[in-house]
Amino acid sequence: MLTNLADTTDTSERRCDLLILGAGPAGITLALETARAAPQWSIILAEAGDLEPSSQAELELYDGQSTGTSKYSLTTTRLRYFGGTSGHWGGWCRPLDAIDFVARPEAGSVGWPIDKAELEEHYRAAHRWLEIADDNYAPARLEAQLQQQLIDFSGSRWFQNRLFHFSPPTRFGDRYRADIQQSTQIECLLNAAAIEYGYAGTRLTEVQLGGLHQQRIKVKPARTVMAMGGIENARHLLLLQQLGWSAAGIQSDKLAHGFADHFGLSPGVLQLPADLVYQRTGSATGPVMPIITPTPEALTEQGWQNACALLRIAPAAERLPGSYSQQPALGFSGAETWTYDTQMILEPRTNESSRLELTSQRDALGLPGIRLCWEIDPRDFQSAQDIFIKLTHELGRMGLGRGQVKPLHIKRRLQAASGVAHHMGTARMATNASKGVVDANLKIFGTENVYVAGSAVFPSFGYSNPTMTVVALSHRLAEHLIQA
Amino acid sequence: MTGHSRRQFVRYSGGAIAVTALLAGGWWQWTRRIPAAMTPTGLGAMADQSIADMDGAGAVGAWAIEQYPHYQLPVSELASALREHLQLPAEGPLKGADFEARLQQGIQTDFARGQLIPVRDWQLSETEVLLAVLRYQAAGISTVATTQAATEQNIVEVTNWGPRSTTAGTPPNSFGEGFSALWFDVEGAPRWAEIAIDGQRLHTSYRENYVLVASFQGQPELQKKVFSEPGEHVITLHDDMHNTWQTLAVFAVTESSAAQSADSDSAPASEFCAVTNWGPRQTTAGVAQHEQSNGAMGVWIQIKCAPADTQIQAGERRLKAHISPDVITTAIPAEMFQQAGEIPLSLVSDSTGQQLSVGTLVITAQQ
Repeated sequence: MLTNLADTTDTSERRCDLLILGAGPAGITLALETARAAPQWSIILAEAGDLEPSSQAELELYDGQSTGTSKYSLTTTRLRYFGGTSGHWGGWCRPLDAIDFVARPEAGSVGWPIDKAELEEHYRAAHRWLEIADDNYAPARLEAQLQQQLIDFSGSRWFQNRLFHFSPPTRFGDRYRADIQQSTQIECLLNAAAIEYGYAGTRLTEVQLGGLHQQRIKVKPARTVMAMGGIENARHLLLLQQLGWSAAGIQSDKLAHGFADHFGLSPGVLQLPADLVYQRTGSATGPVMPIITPTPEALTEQGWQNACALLRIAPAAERLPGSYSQQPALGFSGAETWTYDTQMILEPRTNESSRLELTSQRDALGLPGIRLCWEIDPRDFQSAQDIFIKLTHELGRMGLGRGQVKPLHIKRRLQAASGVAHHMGTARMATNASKGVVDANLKIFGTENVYVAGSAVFPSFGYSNPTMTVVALSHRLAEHLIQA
Repeated sequence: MTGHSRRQFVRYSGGAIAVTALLAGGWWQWTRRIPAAMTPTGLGAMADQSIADMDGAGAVGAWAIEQYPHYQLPVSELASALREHLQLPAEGPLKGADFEARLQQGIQTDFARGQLIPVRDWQLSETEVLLAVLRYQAAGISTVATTQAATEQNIVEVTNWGPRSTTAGTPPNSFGEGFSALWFDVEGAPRWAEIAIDGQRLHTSYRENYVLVASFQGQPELQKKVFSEPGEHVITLHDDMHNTWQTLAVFAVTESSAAQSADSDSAPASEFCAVTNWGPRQTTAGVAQHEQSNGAMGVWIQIKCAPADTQIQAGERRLKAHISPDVITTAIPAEMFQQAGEIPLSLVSDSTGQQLSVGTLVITAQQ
């Protein structure tokens, strides 16, 4: 059932088994999975926005200050309406690698309190939610013609080919709207942002919902899941901290610290055989994007952060002469060579100084304002260059080509860095409150009934887009809530 | 990936000259000739022939010496160093095939061990740098490798293009911030190709996989120079990957005179002609194509005539139009393309309400 809080005449107090704040991919997956598995439960799914993209006034509720070395838009990277950020998602999908779950201090990765095996069945479910038929991320099953356009890394212990798959992309607001609407268990309240909280001891007892309209509803939930996105979740948890709730997770030093986003960078140019395909392309099983990644052995041995490289065909300003780069005696294959600009996506190091804070300003709903200080660890750029240089060595050894390293210019790169709207790490999953905000079941430490969903809980990040892991975690959380 | 380079293919493929040379018994001399000016390296005639054949190595050697002047050594010393590096016999002639095999092996070993020397930031193996310097010191730089001059070649088929002319002082196809753009319907253009006017590169982008758009964005001086005086300007397409170029068209700037104005019907058009082209037709959420200073996105609509009070209807919004000969431009406010979706565009006469559909601007999702 969909109810527009702005229009409804029924503003009576609600009680429910589960209150989910936020109707993005995390919230919608959770609501529908829980409803399916627990038919006796009543669920309220509260969405701050409407069914359509927000007005300018509503968007301003997301605005705030950006003070980091790398500037960040708090408005254009978020969507405040039913379906959340799936509304502008490009559909890139790939589960995290097993090594992404492992603590590797040398790579700036704090690791997860669960391993990938714990998520495998939920990843399979996420493929269904995201409408992806193929869950094989190694390129071995690609058609022969496409495989010929990839580098044969079979003799390399350093690098390998892997794939991204693509969701159509699934716009959760469109794709699952009818399911929400037809559900007798779920009441989805639109224009219903959380604006006040009440707690007692270890329990969150009530949440006041409202909007720019004048309507207000009080909800008394048995349990609450915050699924408002990596920035808004942190903002509301900081508000609870400011209110003085003493729950260990709310008071954790890690709350709102370690904000991370993926950022693209180009560490150099490769001169390689013509017509390689390391970009989005069609395949017999749907669109794929081949990528070059370090092997797990290389990551462990070198202490690198996980990363992937895409190759964009682009004439380099200064190429090796064609007559040079086709000489077998000089270690080349003899084939025509093209130059490719390397686009690398690197797992960002966890950086505690990258954080969100509340400001003394208040928005139109009375909520404290937000200040984001996005700080990329400068070592990330060196890491990307190290991986790229090793790749050039390997391609040289294999007789395929050469690489030209671009200058590091870290300060310039930091200032020019641009995020890709993956808000991660602000309420990280950990084994205890000194290390994070939520436990392995996504429950906030020191609370009985409050959980966090979405990429805010990622303790470390890999290079994959977070949506698939977000959906898998929601699927897992639904299972846990019902069993708990 | 073939086993032969294009150069080798040309060398070994048929052709009257090659056949004649072969029949005359001169095949070896024709195909493999040590440059007359090459200093013998002491590695033997066959190794020297291999070195002579390595076109491009001289250019890389010159780069290396420029960056590392201590490499500028006599040929004999470099040859000895190469022998030592490749663990070849200290004296005596080498067989060409053996030499090339050892060279290849030496280079791959260098890469495996990380024994590299950056030359102009290219990560090159110690062996190949030594070889390249030797090639340069012994034979200089071959004409082919030195000049790397682009050659004229047919790259694309142009099926239509425009605008093709303007009057002096009137930059055509002007966008919100005043920069002009030209479009070309082409087939077969590589995605990296760039358009130039009078040899000056223009910002070149693709639309819908077959329309190349070249704009003067960021080049106001060039735009002023091209469009201020009557004359003709050659438009070329450049494929830097293959070092080729092609003449696409000649743009004409005609006299701008009072007489011309008097000849023309100065009364404003009262009806719309057909839209002949428009763009950009697609963007990514949050990304302004033809970005304006306020973050808005410039859109151009090519049309021969339109009422003077024409405005642009973009979805629910009515936008101001900038009308100039043959083209109407507008700026789509940034907030309108922050999310994926579609914005139908049409031209509207403010006084009569007459409306002409233009098309739909598609906004695709971000990554």
